[in-house]
Amino acid sequence: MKASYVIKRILLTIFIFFVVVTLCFFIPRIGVTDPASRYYPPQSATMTDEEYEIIKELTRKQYGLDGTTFEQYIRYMGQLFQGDLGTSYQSGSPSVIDCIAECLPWTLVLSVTNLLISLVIGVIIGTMAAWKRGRWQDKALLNASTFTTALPSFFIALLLSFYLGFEWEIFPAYTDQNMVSGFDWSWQAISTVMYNAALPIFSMAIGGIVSYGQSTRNSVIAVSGDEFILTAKAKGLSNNKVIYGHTLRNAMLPIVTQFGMNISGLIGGSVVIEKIFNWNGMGTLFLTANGNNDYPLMMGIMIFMSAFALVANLLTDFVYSLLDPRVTLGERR
Amino acid sequence: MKALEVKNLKVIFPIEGGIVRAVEGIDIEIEQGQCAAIVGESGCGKSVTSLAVMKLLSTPPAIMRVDKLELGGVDIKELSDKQMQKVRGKDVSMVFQDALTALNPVMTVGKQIDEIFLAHGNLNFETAGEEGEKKRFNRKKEAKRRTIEALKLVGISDAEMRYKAYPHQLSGGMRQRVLIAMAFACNPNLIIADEPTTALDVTIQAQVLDILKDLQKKQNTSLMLITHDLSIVMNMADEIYVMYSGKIVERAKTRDLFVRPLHPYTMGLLGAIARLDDERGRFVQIPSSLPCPFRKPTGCYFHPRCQYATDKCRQEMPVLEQPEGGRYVRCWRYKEIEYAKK
Amino acid sequence: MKDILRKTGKFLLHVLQGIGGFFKKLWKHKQGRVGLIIVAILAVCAIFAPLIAPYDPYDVTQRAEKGLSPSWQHLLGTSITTGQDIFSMLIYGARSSLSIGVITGITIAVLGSLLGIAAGYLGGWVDTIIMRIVDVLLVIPTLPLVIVMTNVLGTSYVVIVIVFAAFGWTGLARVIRSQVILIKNANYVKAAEIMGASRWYVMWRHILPAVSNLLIMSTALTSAGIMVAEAGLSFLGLGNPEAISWGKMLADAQSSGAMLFGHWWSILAPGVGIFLAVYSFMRIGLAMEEILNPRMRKGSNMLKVFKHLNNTYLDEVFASMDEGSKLSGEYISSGAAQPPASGEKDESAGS
Repeated sequence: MKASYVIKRILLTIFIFFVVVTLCFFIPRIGVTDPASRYYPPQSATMTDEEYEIIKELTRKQYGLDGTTFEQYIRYMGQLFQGDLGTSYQSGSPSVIDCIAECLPWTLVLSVTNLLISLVIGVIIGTMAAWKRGRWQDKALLNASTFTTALPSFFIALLLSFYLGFEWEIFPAYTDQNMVSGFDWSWQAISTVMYNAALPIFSMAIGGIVSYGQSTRNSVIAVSGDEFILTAKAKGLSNNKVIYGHTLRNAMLPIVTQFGMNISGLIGGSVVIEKIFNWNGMGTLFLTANGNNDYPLMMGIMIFMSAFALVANLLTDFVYSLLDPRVTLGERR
Repeated sequence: MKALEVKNLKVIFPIEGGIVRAVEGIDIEIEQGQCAAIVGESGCGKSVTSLAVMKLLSTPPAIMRVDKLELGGVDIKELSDKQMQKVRGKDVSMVFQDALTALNPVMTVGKQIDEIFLAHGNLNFETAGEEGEKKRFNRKKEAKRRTIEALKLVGISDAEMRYKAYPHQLSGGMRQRVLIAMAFACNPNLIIADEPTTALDVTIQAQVLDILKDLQKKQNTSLMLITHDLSIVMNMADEIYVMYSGKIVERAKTRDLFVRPLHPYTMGLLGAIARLDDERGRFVQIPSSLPCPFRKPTGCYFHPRCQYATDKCRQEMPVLEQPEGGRYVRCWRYKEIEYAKK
Repeated sequence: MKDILRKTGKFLLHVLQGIGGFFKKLWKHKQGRVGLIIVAILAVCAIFAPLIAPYDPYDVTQRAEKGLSPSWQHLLGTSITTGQDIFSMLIYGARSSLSIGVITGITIAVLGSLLGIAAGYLGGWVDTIIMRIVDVLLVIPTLPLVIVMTNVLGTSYVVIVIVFAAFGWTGLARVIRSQVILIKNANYVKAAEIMGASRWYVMWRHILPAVSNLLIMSTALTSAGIMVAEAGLSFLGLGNPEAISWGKMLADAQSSGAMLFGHWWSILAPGVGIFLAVYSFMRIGLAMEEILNPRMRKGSNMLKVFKHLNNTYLDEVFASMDEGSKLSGEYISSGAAQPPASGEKDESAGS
């Protein structure tokens, strides 16, 4: 890994982030509504027109909507540089950062658990299927993979919540909102969270497991056809050494890429699932913001998600170049 | 003692709608310290033979039958895969054709050679290491020391640095040397070299062959050299097996074969070698190509390409005859052909 | 004039033959046939929905009592909120799903291939700009972006297609770009360039045919993906509010308490609709992949091969190789515990 590559890659990331912020700033602005007209309707009789104009102007200032669009843009960029994403339209005018900070952990509970479960179980299943290539285990995985890819995760979620939640009442079909407000890191609170998170995680993990399984299987089969595996066997290595030291080691490289891609979608990937289970995460926050035309919040969430994805991509590239010496940074893809 | 003795090795691959007869009953005997070359066109079953001898051919898909399979006098026919692991790398090892694909791309070459010492060197390490926990550490250190020694042996300069290199960072010749170092690491009885120089430039070829030959002589190792190129075996091999479509068609000492080839196929191969003292205007070609391995012709497999073929050749497979000591030929008409040539 | 007509006629015939051949190949492939049949059924449902559906779900006068269970009058019951016949809605729902999926899929194919070829073949600043756009679009989370766009631009069909196409071309463009770079460096293309072929000629003559198969395959797969995304969008209540779509049916069923009342059919029906549509397109896409790229062929046929091999037959084969046809020696097994390598490796092992 050469330093110049690293610097180049980081500069590129910063540039992309800049473009993303610009896009996120201008796209929602096409349909932006004046927050002043929203909260202080002109019919209000308690104040004079001058007072009303002053209040309107103050409100616009509070939400960063005074001046021309370009001025707003420059100001927004300046704020962003200081780590400020603006103010939400929500009642009480919380800052966007606070809104995100409140919802982010709950989304991460779902998506991180889902990702880890998918990865571990998927890799194990995929390796097993590769061993039994062409037998029923392999065919079952292949069929399951086309099957679950065609089943949208929200449909799986609905089915699960219908049967496991309503009919058999094993897991809660809706999230208990007290779980969020009363969370205190006690063992009981944690177990309540896991109990409530079971169905959302499960409905996402089904697809994830199968997808990791299928790619692991394909990768393992491709690698075991490589000649260096034959060399390893000709050296007289034990089966375990060949399998763990050579086959799986090399077969895991594409899985790292897939894992990195999934990490970059960690925050934005559970919007629909969160809605179905009424889970108080980033997805729900975004949908609420969308419903309220709360554009600072929408902008903030999208910028935050993009930044997260960018950092994740960067880290994936670094890790990949460490794992595969053939790749110098930035040459993958 | 014979380093390798194979009797009547047969390998087939069932495929949809037929059977590929890759190897159809071949015998190979290699004396200790000798070099035997198996020569033939691509697709004639050479590589399958080498893999079968190492018991590296996976069954299924291959199906294999053999009368006798002995390595250094030890019968390996019945050995399980686990037992074979102790044999491979230690008593018999292999040099593959394309070093770039034959080396693990994400492992340093040093580590890849270390693995052999760690897998086979147990007994020798006992004295080198100390008691208790330190032993494992020392084992690795000892393996590294030996690896660097092995790398130096094949003429790799600054071996300590190359130890840490990844295969893609080395040149083609260097990679092939690494493979050779790997094969000679545990000083095995027999080394099988499958087209060891085909992927290299001609100049590098000569260097690599020299190293191979030097090491073989120095360590008194037997070598089974598999190649399609008769010109490189001239200086290497003691005995040559000419293989055609899964059968041995001629077997002779190198000198005899070059001076007086008996089988028309061998004559054709020799005709295709370029020589410095060449006065022919052009190379002699063997017309057409190898028969399809699952629809072989009746009679002698070579007859569609043979200018001497008669009706008998078209109907009956010739037997392997022994015209004189240590010479074998599979042709109905070798006597007449030789007479005609004179 | 006549000449031009003849030429276009010839060209059209050629294209038709190509498409016909493609369907023929697909029909021969078992999985592809399954996909084709399901797509055909769905397409018939979508096109002739008014003739097939027993009720017109758009007609307010044809609504029945709300929340009926399945019966002969209403095969899948009626919806809880409006009393529309669910079976009819299911059939009408195929319209929005299929049309959006296919139209967007084709748009993406055109957009992605044009940009991918441009980036890969022209290289230089064109490549840089296109790939930077791809980088940006890959980073922004797709679903939130689409939600914002529909919020701003409205939720008509046209907008949904445009939005999906605008953000969905990146993956295809990248695949095509790398493929084109491979072809560009191939010797036959270089030869054409040396002999004075223009860039457009090379693109049209060499590169487009080489990537066209890839294109057909990915169109089927992206269509499937778009159908899932569309269902998700209308499930969130952000699709076209007037049209009947499977996603919206699911959302209505969930929000009106179908689960609480145990109306499993009102959830299952639209879900199965989505599944069938997506599944069939994926089947076609995957079948194409296998036809184009035999190396991808899943699973090996080894078991099938071994079934017809019995010991006597094998003995005969081996005996025929021995001198005098006497069977000698014994079978031995070898090979380590490794998954079997891909099939072609085995056949080329004799080299």
